[in-house]
Amino acid sequence: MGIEQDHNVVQELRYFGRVTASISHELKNVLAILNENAGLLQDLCAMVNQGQPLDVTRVQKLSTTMQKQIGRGDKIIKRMNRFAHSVDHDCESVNLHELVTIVVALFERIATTRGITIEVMTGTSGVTVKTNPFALEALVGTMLDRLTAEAPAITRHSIDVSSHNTMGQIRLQGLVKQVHTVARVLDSDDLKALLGALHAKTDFRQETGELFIMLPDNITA
Amino acid sequence: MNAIRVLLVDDEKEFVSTLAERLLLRGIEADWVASAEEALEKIKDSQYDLAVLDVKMPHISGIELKRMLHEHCPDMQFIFMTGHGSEQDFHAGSSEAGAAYYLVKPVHIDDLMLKMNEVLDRER
Repeated sequence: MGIEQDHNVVQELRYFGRVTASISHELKNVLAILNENAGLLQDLCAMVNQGQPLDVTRVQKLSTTMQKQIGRGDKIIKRMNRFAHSVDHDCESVNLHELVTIVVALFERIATTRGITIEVMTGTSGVTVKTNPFALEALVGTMLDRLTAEAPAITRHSIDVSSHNTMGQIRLQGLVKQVHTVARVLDSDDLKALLGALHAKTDFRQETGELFIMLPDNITA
Repeated sequence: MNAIRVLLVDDEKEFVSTLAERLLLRGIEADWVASAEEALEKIKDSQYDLAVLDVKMPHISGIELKRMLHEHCPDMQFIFMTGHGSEQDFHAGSSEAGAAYYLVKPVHIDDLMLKMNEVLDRER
């Protein structure tokens, strides 16, 4: 295995690890809420057994909260499942809007902790490219992670996709104040290796704070 | 003996509010807030024996908050709560937390009560 391939494997595994750690953390929070609500139900039952009246409104509220958290957990697991299956094929047709949406959703917890908001814009939803889905998720996710690691709190970014000539294009906006960070991130060896594996290019426009990732419509062509 | 006064800090409101309610049922005077910033406001007009802090919170982490609260209230004791999967993860993520008391979520209320007594007994 060459050095460049080594970089890719390590980078992709690191990304996989970061995402699964973040998902497990979020699921732990769901379990913690369910645990407290179930515990409070037990407390209320114990109080009824001691002759105190049952607060039906409180019980209904607890039930609503528990259903809401089960829905939240279900969404997290669906996302995780989708992410897990992105390693199934080395090359397949990928809808860029769907891929970006899932990467941003997986990154949401980390972004919130950093006080960062990333909004996926509607853009052009029908852009597809034939590429390595997991390597592309690792590229976009790692870029988001590094670009927002030093961003000032309460920063808003937006991301959208489009097509330009025969290339698929992912655009991240809101980087005007992070010119040096962008330069450093784009200069890192592991990201360069991922870009190379995807035959992708980047273009950073300092004056507008836009970063473009340009992908060939077919990586095998 | 005076009741224990506890401040709970966690950005998961539905978790922290219910935990506070359960502690109140057990005779603990528990207040809760959902951010480090609110915690720093809260201690301006209230006194607490103990703060129970989530480690990962937006803007200011539980570890940083502990440092800030300790500056204002040197006698306040601390317990961390973490959503990390294991003790190893927690220690790896926070070098300062090695000597601190902590619980891994989901938190069992009896364990929390036990830890609270342990922390406060140590200081008495």
